[in-house]
Amino acid sequence: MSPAACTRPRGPAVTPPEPPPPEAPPARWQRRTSVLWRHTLGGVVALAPTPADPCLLRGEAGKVWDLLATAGTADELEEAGGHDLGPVLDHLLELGMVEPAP
Amino acid sequence: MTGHSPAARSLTSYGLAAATLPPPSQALDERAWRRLMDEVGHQRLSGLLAWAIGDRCLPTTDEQLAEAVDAHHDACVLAVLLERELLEATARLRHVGLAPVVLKGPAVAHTAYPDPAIRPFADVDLLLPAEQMDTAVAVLTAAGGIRRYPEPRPGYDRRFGKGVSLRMPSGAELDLHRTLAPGYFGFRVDLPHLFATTTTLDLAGCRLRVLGPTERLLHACLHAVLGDREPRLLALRDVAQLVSAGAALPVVHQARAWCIESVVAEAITTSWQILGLRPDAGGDIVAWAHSYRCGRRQRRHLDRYHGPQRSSASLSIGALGAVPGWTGKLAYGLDLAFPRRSVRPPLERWRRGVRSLLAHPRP
Repeated sequence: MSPAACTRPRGPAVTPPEPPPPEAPPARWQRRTSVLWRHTLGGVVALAPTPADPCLLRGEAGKVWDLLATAGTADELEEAGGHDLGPVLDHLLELGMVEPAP
Repeated sequence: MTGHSPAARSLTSYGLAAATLPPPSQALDERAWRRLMDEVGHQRLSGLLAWAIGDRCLPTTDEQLAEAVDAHHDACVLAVLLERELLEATARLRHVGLAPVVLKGPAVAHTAYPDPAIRPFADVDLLLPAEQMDTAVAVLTAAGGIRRYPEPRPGYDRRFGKGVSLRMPSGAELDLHRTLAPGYFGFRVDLPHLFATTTTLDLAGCRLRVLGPTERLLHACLHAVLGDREPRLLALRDVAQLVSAGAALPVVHQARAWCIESVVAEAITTSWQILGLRPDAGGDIVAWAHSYRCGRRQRRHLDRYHGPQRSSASLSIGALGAVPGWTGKLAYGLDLAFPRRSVRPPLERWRRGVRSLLAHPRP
């Protein structure tokens, strides 16, 4: 082993600048597996696992539920739905109907 | 031929490839609609009604559409609540090492129909090995379930009963089955075979046991023919649905092994007749059912289940011949003759049972 290999550099340690954190991939969402649900003519009847009453997902909420048959990001939902469905997604999250996809 | 309206029969066959009864071509008048909705409620046809309306195959007025939407919504709300009850009960039973098998409504809705929303149900049914019945009842009563009918004598549930019906704290009805039918034919079912041939169903992330496809059809036949005095339309639809999904002759071999061929043949021919299905559709099993000739012995057993003479007493007495072994028959007879005082039926019920038995003497 050469002496140079075990000497420490003199002077203040210089920390190389950290590379910028890699951009986190956008969250992907899916239907919560434990939700019991049915399609009806008026929307989707869904029952989250926590003690709660069934609720009816009408209109855009039912549409998002259908789109989440396969996991997707908010952007992908927007693309499929034609406009921003983020607020609807947030609402489904509050209701416990949707969870992050692994 | 039947007391069902043409619209209800057409609706019950909706979506089957073998269907011939045309749905109404225009919105029904008020009287016909009211009759149809009575049948939809009583026969649990709201899912088929919603399906036909959604496909634009059943014209409605705006008011009729709103009523149909409400009826189906209510049925779906009940279905998901019952499925939650099913998952909770199954978890409790598994926790103590029991292995229930899901029967009827949820099992058929999720395995036989293109969309479970088509097939409503009103209770939860679980099949258990006979030796697990007492433990299962204890577990579910500890969870707040209340027996709807007391056990006639200690040990009756696991030896002879069709099952135990419980009312759970949520109000849901949960039936624990020892066998698949009341009376004589219930004793003909090969119970170990049922548990040896189960498959699984994934429901809300839980893996549940259900009957194998052959046994599921046999159970649908038993339920359609023996479950009520008159077959319910949805039970007949289940038979047609399962047959149309590709039932094959092994079903007949199994029925023969259990001595329930007459029940299976009657279930299929009655379904085909009332639902107006093409006799040439459905394959070999439908051809077999139409050519089957019921013997006198089987006919007499079947007749006990139909018409106004049917009673739990007559079915119980009529089953004596199918109870295995002389000691079994003796124990069964004693349980029937000397139930606990608290559950002793009025004498008139026994008289009716004996009268029914005399009307259909033992083969």
